Amino acid sequence: MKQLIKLKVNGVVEEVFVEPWWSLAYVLREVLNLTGTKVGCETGNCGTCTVLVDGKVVKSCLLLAPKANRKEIVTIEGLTGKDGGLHPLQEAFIEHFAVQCGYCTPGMIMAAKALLDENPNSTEEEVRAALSGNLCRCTGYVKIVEAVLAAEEKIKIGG
Amino acid sequence: MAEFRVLGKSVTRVDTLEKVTGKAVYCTDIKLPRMLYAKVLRSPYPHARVISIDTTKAEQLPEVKCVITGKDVPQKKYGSVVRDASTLAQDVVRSVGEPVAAVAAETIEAAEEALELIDIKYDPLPTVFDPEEAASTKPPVIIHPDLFNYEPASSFFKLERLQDFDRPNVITHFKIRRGDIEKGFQESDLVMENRFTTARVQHCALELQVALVQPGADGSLTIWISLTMMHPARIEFSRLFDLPVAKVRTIQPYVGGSFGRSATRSEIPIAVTLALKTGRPVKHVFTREEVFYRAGNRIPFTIDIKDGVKKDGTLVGREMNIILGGGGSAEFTVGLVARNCAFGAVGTYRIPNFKLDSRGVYTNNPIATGFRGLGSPELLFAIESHMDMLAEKLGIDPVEIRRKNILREGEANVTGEITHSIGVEECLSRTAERIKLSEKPEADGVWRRGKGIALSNKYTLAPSTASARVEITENEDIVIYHGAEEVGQGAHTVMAQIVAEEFGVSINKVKTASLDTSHTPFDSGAYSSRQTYWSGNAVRLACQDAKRQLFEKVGQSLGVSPDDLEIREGWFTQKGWLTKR
Repeated sequence: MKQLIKLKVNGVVEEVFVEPWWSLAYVLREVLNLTGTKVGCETGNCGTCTVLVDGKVVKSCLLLAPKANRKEIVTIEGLTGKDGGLHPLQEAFIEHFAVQCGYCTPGMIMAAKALLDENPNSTEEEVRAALSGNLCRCTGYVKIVEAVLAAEEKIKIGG
Repeated sequence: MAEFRVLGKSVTRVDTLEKVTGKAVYCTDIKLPRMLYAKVLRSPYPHARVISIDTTKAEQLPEVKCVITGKDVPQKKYGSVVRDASTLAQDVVRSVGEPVAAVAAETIEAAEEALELIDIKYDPLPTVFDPEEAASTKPPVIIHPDLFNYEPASSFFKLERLQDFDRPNVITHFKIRRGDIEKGFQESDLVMENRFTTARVQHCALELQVALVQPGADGSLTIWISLTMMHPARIEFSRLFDLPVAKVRTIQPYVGGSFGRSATRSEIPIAVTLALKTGRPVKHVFTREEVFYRAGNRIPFTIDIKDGVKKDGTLVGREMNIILGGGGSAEFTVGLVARNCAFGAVGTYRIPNFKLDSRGVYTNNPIATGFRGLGSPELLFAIESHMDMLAEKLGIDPVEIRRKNILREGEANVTGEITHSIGVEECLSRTAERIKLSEKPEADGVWRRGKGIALSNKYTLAPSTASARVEITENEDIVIYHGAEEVGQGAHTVMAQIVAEEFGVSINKVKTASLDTSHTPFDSGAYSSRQTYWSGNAVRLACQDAKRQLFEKVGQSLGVSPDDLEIREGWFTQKGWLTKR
């Protein structure tokens, strides 16, 4: 039987009737039409469904929707920089050619955001470790890591 | 050499803003009003006869709108090299995962539930999984007993398959002969023979395979595909469903990675059949498990290589026997790759006596297809490993044995093709120098490093077709309509760069039309590293044609010869002068 859950998604309160077996990814994409969050495996391997749940990095295909009740969710659509423009991570991904087919990009950016929020002085090694749950088949990761480190610098100087 | 303003520069990709904001739309993101969800019931057997299918219980589920089996789908077969694939199994399944029945329902859950209620009885048949065994003259099983009655889907297939009547599972046999290979080995100081094998690998593009089909009121079809080769696919679907090509429209949103996977047709005809039967849009998204079974994997290769060399390392003869392990149907590439892999074997070295046999073969494994390089990397792995082994045996430097044998400018390769603009010797020397090949790398803690050098070459498929159209809007933006498919490689940025260069405008003034056969012209598609050259030249010529038409009009009104005009930043100038807009 469906149950009612209440979520705050990108600052907006949403009330959704969910089946107990639905994943958060399913609710975001199929119910709330937030298709920026992608699905690639539904087994927690690829990381393209990564979102923030109460500030923590979560693979939304592995979180049952009822478990997201009363949580605050941020997806790629909710990411903004100062003055509502692009977030430094989004800018850096563009500038550093960290995007090719783009399918891993939203999850990659959200995983990077969780890291930089928690540790604004992350080293390259820490960036690599934080992104190790996110697969990219196009870039070879080098430019993604460069972009995250560049975004970190941008944030430090108030970008 | 001409100076370029935009070409050759690192410009911001035209597609990244949409991609970093989550606004880029992929096939899997699209929903249509009244859309149904499709699920497919697949064979658990690698080879079996289908005895009976009972769909009664599944049909009784209220949310299930349509259940189809082999009798409901086109009886014609489809395929890109040979037409050997059925939309749903007809009597026999030839690999695990082959589709046998399909369901369209109001929800994914109802479709999944319906699959569990379909009862299929199978009679298992003998199997063959080893490509070498399958390719023999007396294989344990003949996978397609009717192979020689199937329709070829391309002209070269017809010629080549006729060459191997005595090996019933061989789809394609490609041969190259030069000189006298036996004489070559007799004249050699050393003859060495080895076998190299490569594995089956999944592309694992992050986007899952998707088909979304909308039936039109007039019997037409609109198909959103997450695959490449949208124009050739459209033609194949029109043939399969007896529709004029103009009534089949394919749309390609952003594609979440290709790497060759997307040349397969990925069961789109199933979604088409369900859409036609229900009159409603149908979306079919593969699970990741289905991708492994049915989206095609890298073809496993068995490569036997025999080389004859002089003491100084000069190649006298090379013989290669290659077997490509296909699946239960040929798909795009067991046929094509069997030919194209040989390109890698002929492009680097001078070999007076050469013999190559490459065979694509059916097995009861999941289907195999192209994957980055259409077979050249596999052959180059064998060849370059063998060059090192020869060098070691002869006590020659690995760089020297290569240098001695590489093709020079103007020389014919083993197929008789003349080699132009070959920079391989310079590449070899400079690479060896840069990586300090002669110096032994130092140990790094527990890590030991090695150094090696190998040569590679890659051809692009020809002949090939591309077309483009240019439109200049009222506010001087330039809209480019082309069929170059963007799968992450940057094709749309490259095309926009070419337009910006030709018109002397900033790349921001160039807009790329979305890929849709209703308005973007024919292009063979994103494969074989062909688009920058083929589609790029189509775009360039379209720009030049548009400029010529403008120059004629402007020249007339200004009383200037069109040949004296040029265009820069949206201004017409008499060559060297700024003049009226």
